[in-house]
Amino acid sequence: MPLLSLQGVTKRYPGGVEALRDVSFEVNEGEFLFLAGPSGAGKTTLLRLLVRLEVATQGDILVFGRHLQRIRESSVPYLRRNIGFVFQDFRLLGDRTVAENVALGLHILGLTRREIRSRVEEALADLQLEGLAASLPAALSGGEQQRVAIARALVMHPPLLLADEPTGNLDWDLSNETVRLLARLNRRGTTVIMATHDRFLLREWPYRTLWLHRGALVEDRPASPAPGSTEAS
Amino acid sequence: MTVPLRSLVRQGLYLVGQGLQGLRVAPGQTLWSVLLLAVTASLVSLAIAFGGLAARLSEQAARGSRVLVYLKDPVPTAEVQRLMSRLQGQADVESVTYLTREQDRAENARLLPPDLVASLPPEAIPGQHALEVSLRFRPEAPEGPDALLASLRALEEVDLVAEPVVGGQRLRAMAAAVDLGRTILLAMAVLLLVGSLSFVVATLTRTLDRRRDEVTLLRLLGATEGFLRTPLMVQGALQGMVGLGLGVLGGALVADGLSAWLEGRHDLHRVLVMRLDLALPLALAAGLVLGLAGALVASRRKEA
Ligand SMILES: Nc1ncnc2c1ncn2[C@@H]1O[C@H](COP(=O)(O)OP(=O)(O)OP(=O)(O)O)[C@@H](O)[C@H]1O
Ligand SMILES: [Mg+2]
Repeated sequence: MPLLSLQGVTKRYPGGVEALRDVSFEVNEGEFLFLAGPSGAGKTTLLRLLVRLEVATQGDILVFGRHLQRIRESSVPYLRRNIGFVFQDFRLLGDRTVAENVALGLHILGLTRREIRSRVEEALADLQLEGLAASLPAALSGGEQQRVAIARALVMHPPLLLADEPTGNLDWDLSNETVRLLARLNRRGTTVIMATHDRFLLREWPYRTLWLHRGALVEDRPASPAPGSTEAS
Repeated sequence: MTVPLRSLVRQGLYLVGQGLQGLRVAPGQTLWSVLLLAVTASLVSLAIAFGGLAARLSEQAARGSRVLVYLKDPVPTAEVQRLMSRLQGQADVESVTYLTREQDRAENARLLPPDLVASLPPEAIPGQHALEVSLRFRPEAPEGPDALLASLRALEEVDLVAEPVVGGQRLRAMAAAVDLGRTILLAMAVLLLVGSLSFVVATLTRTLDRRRDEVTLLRLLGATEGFLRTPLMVQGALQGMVGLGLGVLGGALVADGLSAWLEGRHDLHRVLVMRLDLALPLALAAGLVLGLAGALVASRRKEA
């Protein structure tokens, strides 16, 4: 069973904008997937649907085998604990240290102080942020802030990671570094979906890419070279 | 999806801590809200204590409106009958009853300290036949039954006229004053309550504003609505409980002082009684409800 599947998904916003139109695709566990397309194509909308920040107007969305159309409201938080989310603008809390920002979600899980500390240390080490644990976000560079945001998602050990233009505010080197980091997480087993409109990145990292245009899925390009993949679009 | 008890407790403590931190978001406003709530609670508790006083004064007034007219010993029955019917006709008199020596003795035995009564032989307790005269309260005659009492004292058959220490008239006037004071206290308390409630809601709204980014993130990270709402409820409940609790304690202090002062001026005892054993738990419960309601109002307002 795929980790994620969309069947004829349409999203119409209250104003009447059709942000997604009849979109269908599947993602298997362990995949790395780019969501590409120009501004306004519906990339953010698609990612928001997957964590149920939005509800589809039509169609079926299955995540971890759960129907997001029919899921009980009280189950949504438990779904979200399995999905990491990274924003373009990092969204760090300015009055908390790096370690506190990273620990944010762990309090939800009811872990002990020890468990929280060890998970935070592990994530910070993973992202080469050890020396910055006690710093405030404002003292960090853009690349470091983005790594903190990724660490905040990672400490939850989510099987699925969604990143919405995580490189949008970074220069080329840092963008490349960020994708390398996500690729490393992916090799360790995390399924990654990253929205981007950076064609240089897309050329540099030839993963499977879904192209959206005005809400429609216009192309599902498999990874190249795609070991073991078929010709299916 | 079983959540172990321990991690629930841990989470509870964490959320209480978050609620405490919320108190520091707008410290000035928080202090004001607690202070206003305290003043409100002390006014209400004083008003209630005064309510007891008004009731006791009215009761004493009712008792004070009865005088005992002790008769000299050899007064023939016919004389007594004549005196009774004469009194019956007076405007100030409600009713007249004849008390035999035995009845009066029984009444004295009831009024004297029980240990004293037990140690005395029955004949040692005074008893004298008397007329018990219930006086009528006449608002149109504010000078009271003084003239009547003077004329009674002048009668040859009358030994003495016993009046309670504080005149019923005066007690009634005091009861009316106390009632007015109570009404004013309660009216002020209602105004203050509205004011302090809006302060509580304002502090909670400030906390919500401050936490907005955090709440958005937490929601995405998988926080339940309970997890997100609990700190606000803890904060509101703490404000309400501390405010009302302090207020009742303050009210009790004021009541004590006032009581001592009044007792010195008038011949009364236990003027203002505050049952802290009842008032404090009640205030804490009311504070809890009030704080939770404030949290609800604040979060509703934010959602709209
Ligand atoms: N909350 C909303 N209410 C109404 N319309 C919206 C809302 N969010 C997005 N839209 C519209 O839906 C369409 C798709 O927007 P979306 O943000 O998903 O695009 P995107 O591919 O992420 O674009 P970008 O690259 O600029 O981030 C756009 O036309 C946008 O204006
Ligand atoms: Mg977007």
